[in-house]
Amino acid sequence: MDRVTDGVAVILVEEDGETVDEVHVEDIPSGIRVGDKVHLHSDDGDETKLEAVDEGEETERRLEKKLRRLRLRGEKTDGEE
Amino acid sequence: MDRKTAAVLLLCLSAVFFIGCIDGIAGGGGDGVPDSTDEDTGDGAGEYDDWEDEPPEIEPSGSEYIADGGNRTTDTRLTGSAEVHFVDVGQADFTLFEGPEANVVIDTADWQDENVVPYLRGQGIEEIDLVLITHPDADHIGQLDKVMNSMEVREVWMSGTPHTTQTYEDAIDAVLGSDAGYYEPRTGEEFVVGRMRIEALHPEEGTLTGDVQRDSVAVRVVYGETSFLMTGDAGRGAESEMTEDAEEGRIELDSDVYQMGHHGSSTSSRRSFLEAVNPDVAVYSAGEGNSFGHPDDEVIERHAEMGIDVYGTDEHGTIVVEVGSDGNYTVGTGKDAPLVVPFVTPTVSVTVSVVSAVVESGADLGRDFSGGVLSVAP
Repeated sequence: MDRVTDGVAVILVEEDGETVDEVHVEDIPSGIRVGDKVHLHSDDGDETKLEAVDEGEETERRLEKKLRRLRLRGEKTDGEE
Repeated sequence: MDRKTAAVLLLCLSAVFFIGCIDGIAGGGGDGVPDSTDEDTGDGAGEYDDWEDEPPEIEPSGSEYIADGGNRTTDTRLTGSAEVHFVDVGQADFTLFEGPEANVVIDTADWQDENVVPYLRGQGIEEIDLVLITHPDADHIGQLDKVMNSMEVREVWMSGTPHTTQTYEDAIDAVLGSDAGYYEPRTGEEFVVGRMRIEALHPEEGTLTGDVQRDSVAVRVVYGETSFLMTGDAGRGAESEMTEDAEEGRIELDSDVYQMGHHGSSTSSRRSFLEAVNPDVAVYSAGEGNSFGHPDDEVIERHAEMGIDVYGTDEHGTIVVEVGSDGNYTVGTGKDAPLVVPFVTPTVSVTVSVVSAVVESGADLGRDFSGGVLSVAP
């Protein structure tokens, strides 16, 4: 989930390491936060629903590592690492 | 050596000396403003002893990165004019601060489009001094990878709060694959790029929350006498912090032009914050008929009550503010449209029959009058 803007969740649909689509969902289940990886389901009424999946932590670790590499370029960093 | 040859040689030496003096003035010594290149002479002087045909290239003694103070003049008086482009990129943000002497991009629009590089090239720009990404949402960092892969970028700044999206990872990979410097600005820091001064207003050192919007980088960009405030998607919390910092004199919020926070959403542009910014002009970037309800009616109304002229990319297309060296600025728009004003409920004239009066008084039946104008919701 990329962001929640004025009650609307913006989900970037990713396939094989590429962003291929964007879906807007108004019904955000409790417990799902920005940055979480989710699966999208469509029920019979064609309403899209979100379901959290357990892939977020690995992605988070990988990206934090890349960000640390980026920070090494600068002489000054935030000092929060 | 005869006298004539000696005289010519002396003349040449004098000319070389004189040109050297002129070069020293042009390098920043003549305007009375300290120039960081002045400090280079100590380190590089010895290398001149070994000149043969061509003078060697001398590395600057300090970093050339903007974040480290740069290798440029600190004179921010505006000579000539500058332009600030709030580019119409639909429901996303992309702003170009163009010249003189430097180009700065704040946010790179939405991941679904390919309009940033074409726009920059349309302005004749191939090199960017600084790309500042206020936060890593896909409607702000969307085309950073394309910019990095297509143009020379000297430096990239971000908040330092990471995201987990592929769009963010593509952007980070592109920066890692480039020669650009990287920095995370913090409240109270000031930088000079070309003739513009950039004052960092948010986030504060050591206060990142992990919420990408909450941690938005906010800056005040000053061209001569004209100032612009950019806050990304900063909401109430960040606005409160900035207002408090301004009250304590740590930062300056007062600005001529304000890019409305979060595309004009109800989450931003609180009255107390707007009063501290006190802008003459406000600009929001939003897509026509967007599904988020941007800009928010109450936010627009708040601006109108405070006498602020509001422009929006959905109504006006690309909005260009031209800044002159005299401190004056003009606002130009891609589409001809009136200023954005609060939505007013249409008024309808109706005829009211005074039925109750007729019943009570027994007066002439059927006597009607136009009793006034009522506001009737459609």
